Amino acid sequence: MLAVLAAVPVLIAVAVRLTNGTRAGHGPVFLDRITGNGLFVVLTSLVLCTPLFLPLTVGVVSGDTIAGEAGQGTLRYLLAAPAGRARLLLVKFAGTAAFTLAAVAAVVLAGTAIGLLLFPVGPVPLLSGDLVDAWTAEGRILLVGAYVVLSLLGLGAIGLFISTLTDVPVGAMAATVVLAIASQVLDALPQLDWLHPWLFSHWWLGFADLLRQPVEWSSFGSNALLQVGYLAVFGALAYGRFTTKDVLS
Amino acid sequence: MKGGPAAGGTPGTAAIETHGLGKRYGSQAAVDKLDLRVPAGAVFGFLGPNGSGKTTTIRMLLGLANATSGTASVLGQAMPRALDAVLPRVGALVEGPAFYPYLTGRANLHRLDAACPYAPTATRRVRVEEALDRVGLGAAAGKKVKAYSLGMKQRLGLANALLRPRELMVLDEPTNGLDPQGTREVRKLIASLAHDGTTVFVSSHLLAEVEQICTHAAVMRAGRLVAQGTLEELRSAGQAKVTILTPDAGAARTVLARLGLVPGTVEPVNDGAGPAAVTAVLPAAAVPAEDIVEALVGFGVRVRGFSVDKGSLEDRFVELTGEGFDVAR
Amino acid sequence: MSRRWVRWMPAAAMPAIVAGVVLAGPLQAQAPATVPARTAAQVLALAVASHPQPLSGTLEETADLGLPQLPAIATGGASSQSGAAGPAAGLGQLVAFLTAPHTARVYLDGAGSQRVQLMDSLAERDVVHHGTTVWTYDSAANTATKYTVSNPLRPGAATGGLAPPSSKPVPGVATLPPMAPHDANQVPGSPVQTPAAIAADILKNLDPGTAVSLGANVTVAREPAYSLELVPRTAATLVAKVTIAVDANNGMPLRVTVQAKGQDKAAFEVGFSQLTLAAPAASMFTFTPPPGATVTNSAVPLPQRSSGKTLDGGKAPVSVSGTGWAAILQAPAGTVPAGMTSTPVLAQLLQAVPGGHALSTSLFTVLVTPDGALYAGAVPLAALQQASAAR
Ligand SMILES: Nc1ncnc2c1ncn2[C@@H]1O[C@H](COP(=O)(O)OP(=O)(O)OP(=O)(O)O)[C@@H](O)[C@H]1O
Ligand SMILES: [Mg+2]
Repeated sequence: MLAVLAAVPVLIAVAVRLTNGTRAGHGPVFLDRITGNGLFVVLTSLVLCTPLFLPLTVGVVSGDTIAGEAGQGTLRYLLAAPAGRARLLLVKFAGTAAFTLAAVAAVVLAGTAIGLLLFPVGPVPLLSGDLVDAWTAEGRILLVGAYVVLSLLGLGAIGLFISTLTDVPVGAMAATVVLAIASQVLDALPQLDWLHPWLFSHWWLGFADLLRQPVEWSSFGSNALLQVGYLAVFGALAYGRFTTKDVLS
Repeated sequence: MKGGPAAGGTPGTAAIETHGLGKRYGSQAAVDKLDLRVPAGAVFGFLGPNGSGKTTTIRMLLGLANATSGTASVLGQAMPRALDAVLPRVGALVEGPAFYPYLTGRANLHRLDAACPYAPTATRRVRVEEALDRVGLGAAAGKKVKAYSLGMKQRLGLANALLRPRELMVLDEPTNGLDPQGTREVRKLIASLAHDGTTVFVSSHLLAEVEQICTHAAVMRAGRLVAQGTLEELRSAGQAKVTILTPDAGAARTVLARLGLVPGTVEPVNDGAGPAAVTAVLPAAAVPAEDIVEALVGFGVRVRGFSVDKGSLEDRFVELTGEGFDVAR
Repeated sequence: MSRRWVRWMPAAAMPAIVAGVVLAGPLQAQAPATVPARTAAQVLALAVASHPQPLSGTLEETADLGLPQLPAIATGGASSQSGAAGPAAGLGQLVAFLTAPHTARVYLDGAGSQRVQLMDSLAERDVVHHGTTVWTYDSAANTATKYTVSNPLRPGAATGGLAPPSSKPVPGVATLPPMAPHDANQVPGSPVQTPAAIAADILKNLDPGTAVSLGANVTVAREPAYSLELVPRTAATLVAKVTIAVDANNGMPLRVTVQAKGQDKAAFEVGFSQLTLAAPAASMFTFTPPPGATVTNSAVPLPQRSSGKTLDGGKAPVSVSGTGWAAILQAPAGTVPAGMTSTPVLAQLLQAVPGGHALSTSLFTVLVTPDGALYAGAVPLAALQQASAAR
């Protein structure tokens, strides 16, 4: 899965390289800037991956956490070891978080590498039109990466909870991914604007605020708060469910 | 954690004790009002036909499933509550082995051992190798588990239960899928564990196996405990049976009936050409066997053979759990 | 049994905790501020006399005009080459502005240098005003346009607070003030104006047709503020009430809320969600177009705010009938090109009514007659139809 994610920036960069760029306003954001500056490969990839590829992989990994062990039968041996139910849950969530970090790192590293390889790199224009040097820009990109990782933690917690509900890992994965998509669909409906700030995907693309000059931290803060809220609620639900559940697989 | 294998071995104390233990799945009682007592140091056979609730009981004892009623204590501590203190001292094989197919047998054991926070890391490598050798998997330990045969997986499951010195082993059908050598090895293994003072709780439906290795046994039927005690007690509680070989089956039945026995069906021997076999259960309080022969002869019945069988465990088992082949529910 | 119940306790408690945190936040922010007691007239004077402050802040603009809510894509929020855009695109933009909420960061140095950053999703539109130069930058289109402000900031206006009442009141378009780059509060060419700029437009047209009173004190962006309430005395307007939150310390308008008749939610509101009263770094006001951007040096005057007036290109004479809140703005025949009412964006908005096509919102109404004349005002449609028929 990490390899697939790392392939996204490579594909983008190669495609842009071969077709010699696109005009502004066509295709995903930042795509038209790549020819001018290789660092935009990472940003374009993150814009593309954040709504779909990354939630997909996080959904698969988090949905598999408990249900995968249950489906395989290894859950009963882990619990008889005894691994401790709360401890197992914590370890599984830490694993999901580590995977999320690795997934985003794969995109960022592959994107930076291919961008350096195929395109010139220099001072980067931010959304506000101001230029920052390449090092500052790489710092901002890492910040964006951290933001994306943070954004996906809530989904990880949801996946963990769903995973405790069933012994069929595929079901848990599918349910988690479907939720991630449904949340974004709801977020796009203006009629439901009262609901939007409560959707875990609401701030997913808010990392653009880190590319303004000066950095706008409010969305980082709101996002962190929202994700911590989801983490707390679904973590508690997962705890309640998993520590009272009969392990019959 | 108390390490010594002899720690659970004080006679008179119970390694497992349940009171009114019950588990319902919806409307069905998989285990009902179970009062089980496994003495420390015993090799305890847990018998019962398919679906009688053996695995369900084991799951409750290990804290995997919550009892819907009753209490259970394992190694003297109340069970789901003292789970963290009890389970490190218990080795378990529950409803067949399960492993990560893409890891080697050795890596699987490392992983399962690491799952327990109380397992000493320093000795892990040595303990894993010892356990693998003990079940004869030393040579195949580097193979991925997906390439294991059923019996190899079963052995690996046993190795997992043997990773640390245990005070209690809970083995759910340990010989399932093993070849004759494997079965013998398991018997030896259990004997050596018992020798070291470990209490062994084996669920099985293989009576011969239980008769060979167990000191105690309990019989389940449709979720209820129908008998428990030492093997000797169980066998003797079974009713003796008298069998008479005679060409005069009708007369023999009459005599038996007069003596207060209930004759069973007449079974022809040698396709009806020779004498027939007449059987009757012989309750302990009934007339002595020699009086029966005397009465038969006195009545002119030609007795060609006479035997009193004390009752095998199998008879006892069938007697307790019913003749039918179909599972109860 | 009881043990299992206990395990669910965190799950039951957590939503309550989250709800508590969510509710406690606003409660704390709205703690009643202790400010000196003032009369409505004193607060009005405080507001009018206030000086433009050096500040950095975040503005939230929301509108609920009862218009159909269009997905952002349909209204083309990204294509905003203000100067080159056709009238239809201009109206599309207008709709986008009237329906979607906006967040903008505002930087003012108090001496005439200004920067507004309209924060779109994954994009930004900037207006940087320094001296006689105004740069606009659109990150989505990667275009930068340089304008020269024809009438630079008057020194008097920069330091003298809100402009004196004008001789020709146009209160009907109070929420869509004509761009007037003569005031340090107003950012030339910016799609979002500060509450101070909008309040200035409203207050300078204040006449006896408006009842001025004070509401309960409020807190805006952590600043204690008076709540100045302006209620039209006439029943002929759609405007129910305009509330201006006036900073209790320096008199700066912090939030303007316009309430329409028959609607509980504010029809239009712009206010600070965050405010720092300190001069921003001088580097904020220097702008160099990034390499790769399409740069235009505009010879035409600065484009005006996306208001109904962009339709006429600033050439046709606009006349006003009626007075005060019920004033009606009229543009003569030919203002709206023939066939424009059937362009997709407009077709979605306009309804065919007796006497032409109308855009009816809870706050204002626009009528386009078949000959291309345009009528607009904060009045019901019937009033526009009357005005059109009377001509
Ligand atoms: N997850 C479950 N849901 C519902 N009923 C179950 C479940 N697991 C077991 N049962 C029922 O509980 C009863 C006891 O099952 P259990 O697995 O304990 O039998 P067993 O004695 O281990 O049988 P076997 O010898 O075949 O292993 C059976 O009737 C079974 O149908
Ligand atoms: Mg079983």
